[in-house]
Amino acid sequence: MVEYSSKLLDRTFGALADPTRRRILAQLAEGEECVTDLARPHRMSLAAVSKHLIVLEKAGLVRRRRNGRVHSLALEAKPMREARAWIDRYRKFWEGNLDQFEKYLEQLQTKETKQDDHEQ
Amino acid sequence: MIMNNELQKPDDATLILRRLLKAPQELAFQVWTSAEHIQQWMRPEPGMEVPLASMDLRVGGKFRIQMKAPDGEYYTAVGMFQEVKAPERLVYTWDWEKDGSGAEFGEVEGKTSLVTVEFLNRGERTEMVFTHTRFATVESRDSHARGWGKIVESFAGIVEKE
Repeated sequence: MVEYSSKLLDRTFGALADPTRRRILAQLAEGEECVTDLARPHRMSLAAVSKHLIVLEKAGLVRRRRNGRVHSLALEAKPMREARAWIDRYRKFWEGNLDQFEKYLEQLQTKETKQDDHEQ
Repeated sequence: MIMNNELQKPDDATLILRRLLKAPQELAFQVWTSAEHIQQWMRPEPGMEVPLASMDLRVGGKFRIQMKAPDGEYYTAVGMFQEVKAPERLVYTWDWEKDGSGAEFGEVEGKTSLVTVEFLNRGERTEMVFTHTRFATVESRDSHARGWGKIVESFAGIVEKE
């Protein structure tokens, strides 16, 4: 029912915890880009951006394609899908529980009212 | 005013559910936190039951909720209270036991997550805000949740395409 926690998933969330890496991903969400273009808006050295890219690659969030000397990067959707699956499982679990919680609360109060009526 | 059963996803590691309950705040809090009541309402899926529940409702106190599916499988959740502010706010960790069929606390597996429940007084009603996040502390969740909306939207498109 609620199976989760793969090492990959932990790496995904770790990789996403940094604002620069989130901005890089947002750039890539618009389409594939090469490393130089990715570095430009961040006022960072290529080396600094490369470090972030390695973290993202290890988390499986981006994949790199080499075309001669030009490396271009694209977003990889699979880890995000797994992250969503985690949420979806818990959503099902908790929505079921909250439905019952709500119903039970209402039943309790109906009972109380009936008892009050009886006592009067 | 919130809509009933509203669902929010601020990032892909946090689930938020909101409900407007037809019950006063005190009662909602009491029913959510007492073991006897939990055994009555905790039903993630039809046919499941809660053979055992224990709640030590204080900061540092533990809880254990043993759920049993119709096929005999046990799903046992355990955790520790990090914040207890009756009748409005609760924060606790959430873990699953590996086996879960025993009567006592057993070995857990996977990653600890965090549940926050708020009951906001709306007169005869109570607004409930339920949050479950992969992060094991409020701090890590909050630092992570900042500035997320847009990126998740961009991903959503990509994820759905595939």
